[in-house]
Amino acid sequence: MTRPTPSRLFIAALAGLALLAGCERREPPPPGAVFVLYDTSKTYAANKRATLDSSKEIAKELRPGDRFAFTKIGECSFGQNNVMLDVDMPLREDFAARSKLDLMESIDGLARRLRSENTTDITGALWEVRRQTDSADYQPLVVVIFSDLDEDVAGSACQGGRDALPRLDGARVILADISEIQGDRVDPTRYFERIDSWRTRLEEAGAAEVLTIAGSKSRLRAAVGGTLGG
Amino acid sequence: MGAGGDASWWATINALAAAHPLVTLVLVLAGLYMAREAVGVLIDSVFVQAARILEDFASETRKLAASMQDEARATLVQMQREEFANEMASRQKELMAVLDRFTALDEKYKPVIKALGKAGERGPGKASNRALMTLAAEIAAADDRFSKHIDYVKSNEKILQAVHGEAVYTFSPFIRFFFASLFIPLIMLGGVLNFFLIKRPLDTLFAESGYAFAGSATLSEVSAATIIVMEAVIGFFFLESMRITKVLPNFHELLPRTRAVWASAFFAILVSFSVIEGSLAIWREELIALDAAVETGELIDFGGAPMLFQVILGVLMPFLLALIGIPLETFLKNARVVVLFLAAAGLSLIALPLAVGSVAINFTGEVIAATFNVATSVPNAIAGLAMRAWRSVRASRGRPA
Repeated sequence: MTRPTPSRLFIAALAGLALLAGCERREPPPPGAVFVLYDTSKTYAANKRATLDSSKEIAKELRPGDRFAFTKIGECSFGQNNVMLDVDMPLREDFAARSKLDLMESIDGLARRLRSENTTDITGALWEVRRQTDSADYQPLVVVIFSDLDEDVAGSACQGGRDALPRLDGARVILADISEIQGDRVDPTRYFERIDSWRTRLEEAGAAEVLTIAGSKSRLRAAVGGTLGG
Repeated sequence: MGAGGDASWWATINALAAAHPLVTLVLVLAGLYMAREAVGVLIDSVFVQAARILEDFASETRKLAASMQDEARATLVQMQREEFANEMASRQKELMAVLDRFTALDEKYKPVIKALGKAGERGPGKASNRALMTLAAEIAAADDRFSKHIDYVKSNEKILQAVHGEAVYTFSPFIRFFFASLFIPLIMLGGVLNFFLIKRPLDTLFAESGYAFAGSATLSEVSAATIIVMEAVIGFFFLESMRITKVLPNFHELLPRTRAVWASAFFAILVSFSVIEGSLAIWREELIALDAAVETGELIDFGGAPMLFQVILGVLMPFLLALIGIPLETFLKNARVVVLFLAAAGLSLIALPLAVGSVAINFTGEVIAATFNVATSVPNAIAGLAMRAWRSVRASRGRPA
């Protein structure tokens, strides 16, 4: 056994400090957020039950710490009153599971609370998402839009500031169950042109990815789950 | 004259060589003749020396391999002796126990024998008869035990003599090493499985603790790994205190009573770990049930089977992990011999190309020397003739050659 001379003790102490330095407490990665935007206009009213069912499937993919918000797209969609549900999942897995069960009950309860509205203000709803996520860094931010993408604010009080979309840098947007409107049956190209136009606008606004999913809850769930899970 | 002079000399030779091929030949032969000593030195210094160095390396390598092999054999003989010594020690203990038994029987039946002596011609009574028969049976049983051990010593006499005399290999360290190397990863695999089983409930417990240590290990992963490692360590110490394994001398030197206390303490800790794992298993089952409830929207009762399976698995795990001490001991004890033998074999293999290389380099040098000698044979002969003519001329003129 070698004698513990001062220099050896010093080196051992340095090594010990280096080891302790590796024991720092680090924070977990930033949570994700899922915003479901549901079009309450009369043209999309028939999809209410399917949208709520899809929202429940999406809720099953939430991880502990994630945020889930259900926002309606109606007349003047920018406003806290449009956020029908806003839940943060607890960090503990068992608490998060119980929270998910409660969330799914709450989503079922939305069926009674959601009323049809006359106009469709999708841009306003996106501004609301921007407002809700401004102060936090959600990684990733997923926006699921259930709508026919037929924006119509004529006749409503909220027409200003709807020319440009808010910055959605890094957000992943899923256009889910985009239904056709009356003119689409006559000319199907209008349906795809409308989707492409929104895709272009969303990508210009900074969206990292714009997906279109129609008619399949499992694919929608897989898309959201895959995005949240990284 | 300097450089200008050298240049003109070289130009003269070039002009002469270009004039006639015979002149070129003569110049080449003259050059080879003049360079013969230099080439000889070159061959000697480069090829012969290189061959010698390689040969030295080869012989050193062979010596090292031989010494490693001798050391391995000596270790093997020592291990065999220890094994036989342990075997003999336990047999000796058994024999002493049998002798004690005989002594105890002697004490027990002294009154019976005395009574028989007093009975004399009347003969033994019924009670004495029964006692005698019992005594005969007990003596037979003790004798049976005795002869079993004596038979072992007699049948293994030659081996025992050989072990103390020369080297006898009655077991293969390679086979033991192989099986130990096979079992250790299998038990470690059980540990890895256990890690994933207990990680999930611990994730729940330490959900808000963030990440710890360098890299991306969460506190739950570190805790799970620590629990498993501690189970293996405590299990190892338990085996040591029970003398099932004999790796650390600390436990062997303790008094039997102290060792028993330690063994009980380690066993109690293992049982505690079992309880911990069992409760973690129950917790995990609850988390799985919650997942199913989220999936289906209602609480599902899976029945007792999944819970029972997980609880039993959790309870058994610490004891299974504890067994890693046994193949680990075999691994450690046989590793030295195996590594020495394999290293000796490896070194012998290395020595072979070195020796071949040495011979090849020597041969190459000799071939070059022979080729050079053939090339310079003509100028050598001419030079020899010239020398002889010059000497004879000097001798005829009366001067010393």
